[in-house]
Amino acid sequence: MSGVANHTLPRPPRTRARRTSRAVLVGWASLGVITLLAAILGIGLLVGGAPSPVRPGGGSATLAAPAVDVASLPESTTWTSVDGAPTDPAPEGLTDGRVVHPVRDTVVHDAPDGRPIARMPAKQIGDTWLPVIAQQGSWMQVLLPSRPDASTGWLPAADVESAATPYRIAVHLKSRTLDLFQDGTRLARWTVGIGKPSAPTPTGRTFLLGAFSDDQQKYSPVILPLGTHSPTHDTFGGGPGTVAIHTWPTSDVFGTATSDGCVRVPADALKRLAQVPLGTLVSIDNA
Amino acid sequence: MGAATAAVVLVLGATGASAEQGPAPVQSQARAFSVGGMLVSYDSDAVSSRGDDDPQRSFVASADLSKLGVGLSTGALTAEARGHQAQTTVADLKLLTVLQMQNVRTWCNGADGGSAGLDFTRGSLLGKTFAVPASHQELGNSTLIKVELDTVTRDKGSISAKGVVITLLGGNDPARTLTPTEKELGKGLAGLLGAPAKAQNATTVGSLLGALGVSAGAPGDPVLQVTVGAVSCALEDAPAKDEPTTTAVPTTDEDEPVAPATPVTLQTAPTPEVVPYRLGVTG
Repeated sequence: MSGVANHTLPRPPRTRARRTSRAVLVGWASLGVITLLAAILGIGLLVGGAPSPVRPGGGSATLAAPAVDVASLPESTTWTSVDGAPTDPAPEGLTDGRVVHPVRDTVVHDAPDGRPIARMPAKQIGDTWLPVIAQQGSWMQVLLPSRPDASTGWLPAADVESAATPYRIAVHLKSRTLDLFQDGTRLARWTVGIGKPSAPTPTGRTFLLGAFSDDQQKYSPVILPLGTHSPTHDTFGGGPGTVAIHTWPTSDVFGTATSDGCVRVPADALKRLAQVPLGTLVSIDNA
Repeated sequence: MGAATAAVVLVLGATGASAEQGPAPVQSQARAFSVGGMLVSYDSDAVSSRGDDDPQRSFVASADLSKLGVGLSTGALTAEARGHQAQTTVADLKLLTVLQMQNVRTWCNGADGGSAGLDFTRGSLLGKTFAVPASHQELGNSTLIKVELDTVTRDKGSISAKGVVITLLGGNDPARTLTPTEKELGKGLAGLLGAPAKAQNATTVGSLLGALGVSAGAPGDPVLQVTVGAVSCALEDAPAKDEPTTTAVPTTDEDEPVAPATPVTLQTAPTPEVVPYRLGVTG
């Protein structure tokens, strides 16, 4: 049986009718799982209302979560660093386009039913949208916007709104091009500027984190920050070294490696990319 | 409650694979599938029709499968259903050396609008590993044999999931030489169904289909489909019914033709709103 015993159907929520069948359920489930759920339930009844109230095992009914001092957890934003976050297992991989938006501040775990490692705010630069890279039961693994780069975390499905983006953005550093795909079909390709050798644009998969305007940064009317950071700049321009897509006042930068990590795109590209949903995957490779 | 759930560990069903060779529409009928006169049928389904107080579970040991001549190596198969929840588990799925997955669980839950899915701890197809998909995913990149993971469908009153579906597609030129991938997948499919060695040695589309005893079918239509893990759960807020609202046992002559499953459709994510914000980026 190996690990199968741990996949026994979870207990239903503790309604009056269902409590009557508890003895049957004990026989149904493995002793270890029941014990764990009972502990979670017991604690949860005392601290009800905590975020991420999702039980293990793939169900979607809710149980109160273990006591977690949410305020003590670091936020996962472009400004922060989160310790203990799993690294993206497939940084060159694609996704199926699913993105999620936390409907409330949500606890990020290091594994399904795992240890709380961070708090994901529902809003950071506008609404927070994150790409889903895997799902296990009622848990979704997402890319995080915080450092270190390529960090991931698990969110309970009950705490997020799911949607799909048909788009994907691919940045090719060697050819200094950016492709926009929709449903797997390339819609456009632009020649772009990338990071210089001393401050390279990081490779791997990341995502569109937001769309904002900043009157202190007049080189681009709209800036599209990504969920990744410069590997060489801990801070830059007052920010945490966030890599972004934006335009540039002069066209001579396109096709060059002269930025400090950002991807500089022509104005028409920016206009098009600013319409792409947040959470959309951005693949950066050395091709 | 009138709730009903059903779970089937292993479903081997032919989808309109007519006994007569020819271009007959493959979705016109469905019937139990046989290979070499062997009717593949397992008493491995669990159906719960009386709510949470009606837990049902069935178990099939791997030895039982091998006795039936099925080339599917598994640790054990279970099917469980209770109230609005159902799941199947396969400890160690090995389709020869072609498809290997560990701790495969296909599940559904009819609570809170319904959810369903597939998870496993390790998966590889033709030696290439794959992770638990976020939603429906196709593997294999072949027009002849399709391997699908996590096919979730829902209707008004239920949600269903199929864990792993291997489909032999119709409409391929019989004279076409199998690609290396198709050859390996064909071997696996033949091995799964206990087909003779000639199927495992097939080099063309026609020889593979012939050895498996199925028609060429219409382009894109499923002429043979194997499902590992199929579950269906009635939604909790759906109207109660006297009879089970769902079944997932397409192994009888009364089965409806199996149409290609449609993954759950998600809404398109919204276009972003440009907000005023202050964040120095790397220029």
